Amino acid sequence: MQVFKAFFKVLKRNSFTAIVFIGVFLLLALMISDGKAEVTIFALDAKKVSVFDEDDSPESRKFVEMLGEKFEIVDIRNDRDIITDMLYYEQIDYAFVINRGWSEKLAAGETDGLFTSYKMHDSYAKVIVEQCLDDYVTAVNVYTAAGMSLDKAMDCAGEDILVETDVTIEKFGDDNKDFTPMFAAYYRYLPYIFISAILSALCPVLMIMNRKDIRFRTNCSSVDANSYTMQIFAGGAVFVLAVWLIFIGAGVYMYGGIFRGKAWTALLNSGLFALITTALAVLVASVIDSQKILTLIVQILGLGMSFLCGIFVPQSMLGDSVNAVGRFLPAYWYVRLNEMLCGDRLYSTGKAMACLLIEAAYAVTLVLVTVLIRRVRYSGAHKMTAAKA
Amino acid sequence: MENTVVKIDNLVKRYGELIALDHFSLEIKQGEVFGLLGPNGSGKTTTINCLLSLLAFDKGTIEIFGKPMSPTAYDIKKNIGVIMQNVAVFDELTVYENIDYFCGLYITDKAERRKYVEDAIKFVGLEDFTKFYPKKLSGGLLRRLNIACGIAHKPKLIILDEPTVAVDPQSRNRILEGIQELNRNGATIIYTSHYMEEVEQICSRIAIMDKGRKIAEGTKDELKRMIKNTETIIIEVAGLSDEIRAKAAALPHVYDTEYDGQKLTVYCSGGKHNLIRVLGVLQENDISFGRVFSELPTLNDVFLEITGKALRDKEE
Repeated sequence: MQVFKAFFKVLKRNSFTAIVFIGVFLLLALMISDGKAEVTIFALDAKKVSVFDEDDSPESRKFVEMLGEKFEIVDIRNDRDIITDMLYYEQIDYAFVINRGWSEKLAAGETDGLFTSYKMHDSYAKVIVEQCLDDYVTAVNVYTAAGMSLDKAMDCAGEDILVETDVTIEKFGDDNKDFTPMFAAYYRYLPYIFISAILSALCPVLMIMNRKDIRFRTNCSSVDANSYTMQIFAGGAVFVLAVWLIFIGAGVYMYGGIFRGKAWTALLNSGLFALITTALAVLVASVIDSQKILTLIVQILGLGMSFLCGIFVPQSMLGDSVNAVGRFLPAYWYVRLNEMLCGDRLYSTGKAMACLLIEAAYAVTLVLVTVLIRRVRYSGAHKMTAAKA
Repeated sequence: MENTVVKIDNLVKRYGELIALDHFSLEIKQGEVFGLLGPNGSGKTTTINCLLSLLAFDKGTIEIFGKPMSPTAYDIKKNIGVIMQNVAVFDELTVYENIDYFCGLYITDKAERRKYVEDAIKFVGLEDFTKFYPKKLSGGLLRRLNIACGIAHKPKLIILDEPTVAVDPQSRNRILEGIQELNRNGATIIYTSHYMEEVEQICSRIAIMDKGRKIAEGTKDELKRMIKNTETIIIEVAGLSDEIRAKAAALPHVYDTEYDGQKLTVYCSGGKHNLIRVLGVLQENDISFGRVFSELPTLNDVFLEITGKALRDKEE
């Protein structure tokens, strides 16, 4: 086990970058999760609204009071420049004037000319506040038409507007409570961190063990060539397994739960991608021998796959052309399956299996290409033709 | 055959059109310090690589310790130590760890290995540097570490391929003394170099190579006897006439002379008292002279006479 032990001694001296990557990622994940498995998915957000009551009637004051329960009322001066500045800098979301004669018009069932509004075009706030005002006016009109007094109709309309609705986010095929969207997000970033951490630690070690002069000395020795390769392979496997277990363990700690149902598939998915990364590391170490180029390749592979395959941005938000390119990369199929498992994409066993098989095919292909390249590059040392006397 | 350690027979190695080894044969006996001498590109390293089965060859046979050598002949490899020109150690391991690692490729028993490693450290004089990383070592110490990594497992056959290239004279002497000590301890040594002085100093038998062929083989005295030149006399003398130079050239055993206006060089072949006779010619003609040198032939002279070119390039 001499080579195996040396592998880890060399790894120890080359693990700083990987430790930084792993540490920073886990720290960020811990901060985001806050150490709890519970995640708030939906929360009401009170819009900041400024109201200028030019009608100044008991009805309009009552209306403003009701609005105060629905929105956060921000008092500012009724000045066009100030209002537009506040809207521009998003210090308020919406502003409107209750026009003079508002209560009379409301009592008469009129809907036009009640408000003068200031808003940012195409903003969600504009839609929410205007919807609320329209609903209120419509409700008052309905109640007064039904014979209620204006005061009573305003009370009823106010109650209607202030009703809060319980919201639950429904996911496609969401029968898996153990794989929450936050947990899925944690898993989504794993390919980037695997590529960055594993490649930046494993490649330098493999490059050193493959160094021409070291290989020369090893090939001269009495250690079996296959044993040498197997010991290096075992060293790499133990390291990758350790990295994988760290992330899986951290995931369980942060998001809780024992893996059940589809979470097991996520576990398999991440294990398969760790295998792909290992094969990629061996391939990269077989074709390059410069630390500077290695750093460049790690960045290109890590960031490239992250942007093209939906690690940083969900695949649904990527353009068709980006997704078309991403299909040629293994991380695309990892993320696709991850999205299926957390309900962002319609799940089917067949499609999930397809993703896993494609990833496995990538791993096998990378191994075969690596074997081919290594045979061409390093065969000189071991390929001895039968001497013809 | 019983004390033949290495036997190379009719070895041919081609790189495309280039013939690196041309029907090369060699036999090295146990306990010898065998020198492979030749200019750069003469085929020394190719011979070593074929010998170690690191390179495929086109024709011929190689036997080490009486057994055919092959890439998987681990029982043979176990008794071979290799020290190459380049320092092949891990920058990430300390001096002790490096020697322990390379020794461990041959010796699996931990206790036995520890003793071997300590012996090797003592042998190369790195006792004070065992916890140092190679980057902290000077060039000379690095060379010593390189040697320790190659000999820690106490091999019976040690191959050194130009181990003193770019080494300071002090370290070079220490390395050469170390090689002689290894030989005294029972190891057979194959030493390749293009430094003829080193080969002359330590090798009991020498093969001179050029263009992949062995052009001469023997002890250094045997090699020197192969050539016509036995003595070269150099005399600092000014204003020498052609007539007097002709008289010197006509002396017995003198086969050639050169004169550049400052220095008269007289080449002799055999005979005794050549220097006295040449000086006698100058005295008879009342010619005053300065410093006088008499040089015995070197391996470079052997190489020069056989191939018509110098063993080492001038810049070397």
